[in-house]
Amino acid sequence: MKPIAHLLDADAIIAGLSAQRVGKRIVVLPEVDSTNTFALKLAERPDVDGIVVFAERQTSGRGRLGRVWHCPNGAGLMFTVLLREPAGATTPAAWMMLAGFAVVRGIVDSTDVVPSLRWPNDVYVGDRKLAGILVESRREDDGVETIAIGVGVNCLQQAGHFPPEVRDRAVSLDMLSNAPIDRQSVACSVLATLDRSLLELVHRDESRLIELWQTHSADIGARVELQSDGHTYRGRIIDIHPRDGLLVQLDDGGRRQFDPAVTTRA
Amino acid sequence: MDIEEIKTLTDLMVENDLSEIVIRDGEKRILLRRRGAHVEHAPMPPIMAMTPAAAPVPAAPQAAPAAAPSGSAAEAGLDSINSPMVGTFYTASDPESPPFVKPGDKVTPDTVVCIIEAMKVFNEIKAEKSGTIVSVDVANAAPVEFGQVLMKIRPD
Repeated sequence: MKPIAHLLDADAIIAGLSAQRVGKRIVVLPEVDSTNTFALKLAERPDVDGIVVFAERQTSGRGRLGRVWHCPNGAGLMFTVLLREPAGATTPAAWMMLAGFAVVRGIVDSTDVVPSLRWPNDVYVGDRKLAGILVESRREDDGVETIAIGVGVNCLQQAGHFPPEVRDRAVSLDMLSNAPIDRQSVACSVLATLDRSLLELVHRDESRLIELWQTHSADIGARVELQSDGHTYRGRIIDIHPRDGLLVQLDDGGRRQFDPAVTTRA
Repeated sequence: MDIEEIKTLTDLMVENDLSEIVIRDGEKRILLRRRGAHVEHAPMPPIMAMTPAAAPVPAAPQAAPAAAPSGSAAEAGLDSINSPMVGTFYTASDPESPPFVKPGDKVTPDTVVCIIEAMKVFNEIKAEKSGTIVSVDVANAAPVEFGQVLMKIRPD
């Protein structure tokens, strides 16, 4: 058996891909403030579509709503996929759903772990968080929208690596798997899934995207508690949509839609 | 933990001729090290270091081994043994065995200094340099990250 590399190698990742678009170029940084921030700086150049930026360590990795994403050096899989799309053609929520699907399918294809998707941007195993996704977009001067899809997957952490306040709510692939985890093969598998399913999204087949997402989620019908515009809402999830967000049947009788950009899930 | 408790612990260390005690107090990890264990003269005051449990223990200044020249430039010229992987650090091959190395031990490049459990495998870590172990900077069974300083070593 080939020994597993302890640090990511850009050449090995490229060799493991047959990319149409995602992963045509790979950058591996030993340390960066945030892969999304770094990628968005690159985005001023027109030839960066499909580039993937990995980092072994992020000094200010971010989650949604300004939360900090902490990861020990060499333990996680943290990368940003940069795409350039015609402005206004898609929504960040659609990219979030696509990325979520790619992360779960990529993990299922490359390990013995079976995670599930939790709206809007989290990947869970049981009640513990395994991975998170942060999509940021920016309108460029040339009428193009740059989309940075940031992914963080806990791979090699042991329980003691997690800060005490999240220790009982976080988990890594290594903690769940019966076999050694090869971060490079997980990376290749996620990127290959993203590359393949991008075509479906680019064809604007939203119903197919929803179907793909829901295949890997237990959210429809699930009870949920949400915070939005200073209020707490409780109810049952009826539908999830890349444009309209989350549709919830509230306990007090009404129905309400929740925009992922401003909603926190308990 | 207050100063009286630390004094009690220090007395215990002297009584039992212990060179090191590690205490976990909630999120704090306290390392007490004592110079001159096994030596007849009066013990030196212990050195105390406090860190969050998840962080590596900072290099507590360590008693220079008897053979080494004394002097205040203790940190100068020190090298380190760093973790080549993410995993869990073990000082010994099993809980009943003595540690592979302790401060003051001479090592060669082939000396196994610890075990790191990573990706379901127990990996023996070699010193990869010759010298004298000055300090073991990570507690037994603590998680370590890539590149983290495990031990300080005074190269030959």
